Amino acid sequence: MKIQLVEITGFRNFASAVVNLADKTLVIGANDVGKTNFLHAIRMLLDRSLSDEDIEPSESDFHIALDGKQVAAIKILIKLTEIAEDAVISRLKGHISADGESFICYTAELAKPGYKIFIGHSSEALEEIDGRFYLKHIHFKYVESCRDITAYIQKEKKYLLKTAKSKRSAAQETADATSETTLQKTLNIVNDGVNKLSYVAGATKGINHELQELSHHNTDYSVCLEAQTINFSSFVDRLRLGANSGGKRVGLGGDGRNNQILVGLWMAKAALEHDLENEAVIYCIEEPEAHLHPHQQRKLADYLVNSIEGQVLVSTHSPQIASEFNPAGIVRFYENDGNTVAAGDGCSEDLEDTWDDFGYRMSVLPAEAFFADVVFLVEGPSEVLLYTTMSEELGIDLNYYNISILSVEGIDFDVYVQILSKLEIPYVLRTDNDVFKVPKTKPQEWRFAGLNRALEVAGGKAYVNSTAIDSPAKLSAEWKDTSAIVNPKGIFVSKVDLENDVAAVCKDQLLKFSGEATIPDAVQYLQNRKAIRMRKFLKENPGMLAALKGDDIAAPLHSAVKLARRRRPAPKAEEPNGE
Amino acid sequence: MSELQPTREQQPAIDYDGSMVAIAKPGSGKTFVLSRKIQRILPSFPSYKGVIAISFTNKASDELRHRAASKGIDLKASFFGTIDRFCIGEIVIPFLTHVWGKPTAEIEITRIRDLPEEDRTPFEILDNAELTLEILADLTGDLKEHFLQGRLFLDTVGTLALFTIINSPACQRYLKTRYSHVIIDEYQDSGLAQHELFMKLHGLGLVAIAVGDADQSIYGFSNKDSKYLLSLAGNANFKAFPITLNHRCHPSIVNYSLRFLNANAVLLNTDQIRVYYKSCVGNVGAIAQWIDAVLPQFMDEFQIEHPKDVGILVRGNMTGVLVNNALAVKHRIAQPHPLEENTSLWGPIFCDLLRYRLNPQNTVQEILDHHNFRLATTELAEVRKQIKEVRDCLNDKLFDLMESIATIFRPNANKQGPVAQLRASSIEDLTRSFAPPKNDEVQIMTIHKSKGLEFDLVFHLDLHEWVLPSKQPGENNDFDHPIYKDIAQDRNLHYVGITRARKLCVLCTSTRRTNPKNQDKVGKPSEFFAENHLEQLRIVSPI
Repeated sequence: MKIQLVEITGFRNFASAVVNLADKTLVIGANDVGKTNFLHAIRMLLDRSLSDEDIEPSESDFHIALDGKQVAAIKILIKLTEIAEDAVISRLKGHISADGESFICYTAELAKPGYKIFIGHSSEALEEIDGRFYLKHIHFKYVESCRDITAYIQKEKKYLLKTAKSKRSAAQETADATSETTLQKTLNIVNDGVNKLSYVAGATKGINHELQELSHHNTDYSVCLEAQTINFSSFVDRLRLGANSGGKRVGLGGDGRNNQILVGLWMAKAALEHDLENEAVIYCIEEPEAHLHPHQQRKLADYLVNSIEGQVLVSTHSPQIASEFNPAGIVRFYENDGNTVAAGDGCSEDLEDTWDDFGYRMSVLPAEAFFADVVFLVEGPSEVLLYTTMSEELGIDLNYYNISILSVEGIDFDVYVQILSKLEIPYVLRTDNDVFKVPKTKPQEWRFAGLNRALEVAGGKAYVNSTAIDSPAKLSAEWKDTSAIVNPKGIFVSKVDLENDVAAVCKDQLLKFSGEATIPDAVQYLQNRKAIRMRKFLKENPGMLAALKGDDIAAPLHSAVKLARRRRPAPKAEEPNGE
Repeated sequence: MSELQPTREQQPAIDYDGSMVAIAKPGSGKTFVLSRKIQRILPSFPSYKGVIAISFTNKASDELRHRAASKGIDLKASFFGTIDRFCIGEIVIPFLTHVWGKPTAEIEITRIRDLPEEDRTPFEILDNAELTLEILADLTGDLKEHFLQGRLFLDTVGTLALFTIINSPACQRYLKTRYSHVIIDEYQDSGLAQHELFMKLHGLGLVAIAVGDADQSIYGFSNKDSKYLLSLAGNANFKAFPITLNHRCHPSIVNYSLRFLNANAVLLNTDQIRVYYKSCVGNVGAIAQWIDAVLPQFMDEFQIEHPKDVGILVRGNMTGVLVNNALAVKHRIAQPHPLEENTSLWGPIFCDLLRYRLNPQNTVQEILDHHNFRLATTELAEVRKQIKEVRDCLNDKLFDLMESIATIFRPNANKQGPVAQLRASSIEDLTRSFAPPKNDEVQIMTIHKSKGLEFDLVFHLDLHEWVLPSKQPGENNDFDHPIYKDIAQDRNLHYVGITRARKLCVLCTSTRRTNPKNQDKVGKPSEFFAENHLEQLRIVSPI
């Protein structure tokens, strides 16, 4: 069983949101956008650890729009699919469709106290029920982001022991019973021994003397220090979680390690507690990255994605966690006029195939883009270096605007464009004006690969192959026409390519830097060991790029800032730019 | 009996894992076998799985559930109840919506005849025919329309359940997932719908267990037929287990009953004959006087503790009334109250409420189990409260309270009939009909009503020619060529009557009898006395 769809109306940040979920769903979004509220909406219907009182709506649960108007009603609808667990089928009876779907709904009205729960085999067949009876065999395991490992372990310890006991074989039970008897005897010896230590026995001599002096009533009365009589079961009760490292006992280490222990404990408990084959279990963990080293974050995410059977919902702020998730499973929340919505209505199956082709290329860097407000897509690391430096020299704070410059390591922009479009993350793009030979043509044909690439992303009409034009330099008319079409959409094409475009405006610096006599040779020099020489070139010429502010090279950067300003105003320190 | 070990005959039936049909003779420990079987199946089940156990009456179901749950057995997700309850609660209400859509009003159970007359026309075909899937196909439009308006007719639920299973894959999956076995008791009284449902569940992969005895089929008048039981006995997919050994009756009583059914029956060894023949001079009043006279002696001789353990069984109500008037010893006639025969929806609710009031053993939960399908929590709390009041309320409040409860359960059922019957009864009448018998009262009842019961001593009356077996003169009052009404059913009736007796069975007849027109007639002994040399297996009452 899994949650396929959540529709939220009028609840907290959500005026109206449709959120599709995937097998492994990652929930991202800015702070306070409502990630926890979204998960809470699901929990109200599915998490038994929230009591009937807990899910009573309070006034503040009713959404208030930017104009201050509060909604009259809350509605949360969950669509469950792939219900195949015997226990759930038995429990939900006619509320499961032939296709294994079921709908559960929560409603509340501002004007009336209380709430209503509905269930049905289709959204039309919803009928009111008295309580969340369906939860008997549906388990929504939730771990919040602010978690207290010590308290949790203290609470769960007894349970862990009890379950482990119940799973012993008869032989183990007998062996344990024998050991328990022996251990109790040993404990008795310890108790006796401690009591007999001379300073333990003698410690209270003085007190007893004074007692005698104080009152005759105390004649038969004495006090003594004694070892806390420890019997075996209280000994077990006092067990604490310890740790071993390389065979040595060590103290439980750091919040990060504890966080991993917690997740391990949590999963182990779910496996002990539930009949995973016949009951439905959905795991939900908020910000699992808390206190973890980036490397461990990735490992934890890999565990959540690949080792857990069943649906997993994770909320995160970490690119390390995100890099392990299929972008098709990412739900990105953003605020839109006081209403939180899920980009592209949440997870989309369409993206899944795209991702499968692309998966090997995913790393932390592109994952970072999921958290950006605007992404600037470029072909390679030289562009990243150039534009990062340029933004500094132009006084544009990329961090403030949350703009990510991302290299696609080639020219496959379309996959990134698809993912970013789906996540509704605005982007700008810059690509080279490539002109390629078309193989096996006579007379030789040339393809305007760069222009067509840009036109394709922008939805424009591509150029047919040409026999006349064989280099970007001869394309200035076409370049101008194309730019007019694609620039308004945030798509930019080099006049030739990055190095040539730079050379055109920084001629002297480049000739000097390369030690070459001609520009083509200098460009060749820069291109030979791309990013390394680009880095050196930029370093040796500080302030050079500030002069390019009005040049075509800087246009994508201005375009990115313009997009970012829709989300946040210009910082006071920065002068208005590119308006 | 539950403390007993199974016999060599019972054990294989308990242990067999597959689909089966158990042909259980009276007193052979049928409920014992079923409860043991259920107890054997359930322990390995997870909490969400169970068996379907269908009994003929709510009372029999309560008994089976109680016995199965003894020894702390967890019944898990099992269903115990009547076939109607199963069809409504497990199939039609939850899944017919998948096929026909969601009703606009809360589903309510009624009967076709509760409809206004003009709406009944499409269903007239059912006056003379059992509802089959073919007939249902013709009525689908009407039934669906009623269903979508929230009306579900009790008369149709069996066939509708069948229809629902066939048309709803979700329903099939649910039944397969939740239930492992279907057990139907009293299969000889199965109707077509129940039989097809049973076979359907078997087809879905459930282990199907039928229990019955064709010789005890006495409900032929309501479209029930033992042929379905016999068809299972001849079906290779169902292993047959005869459970014949009668543990209830004295061997001589067993012998008499077996020889009565079969001239070649193998008899048990016994050195004593405890089937008596008594013919009294006079009419039924003379029999009553004779019973008054001999009862102390019989009770003493056969160590019968309470008069309650003595049953006077009659064929018809009229004889019961005559005995009731004539008998001196303290007695109680289990006179079927009109409400008990009322097939409206309120009738059974009233009966259960009266039993609850008069029998401290009965519980509120039983009533809810029998009648509640889908009350919301608030209504449920209210109805619980009201039912509790039924037990101790003043007489003059009782009827209003009962009507209020019935209204909660079945708000729109036709209520005039049952209400009139209730209000026409005195509290004394109702007590006589619904209170459990007291220890010091001999019980008078019809044989039909005695089914499932047992007595130490049975006086079997109405053994007159023309009465049992029942017959009428042929055409033009031709007494030489009389016509038997239903000799097979009557034979079963006599068989059931005999086998109610544990220690002594006294077959009574008399020289005069009173006919239904209240005329005094010459009484001749029943033809049954003369069959299969039965006289060898009975003795004339020594007193």
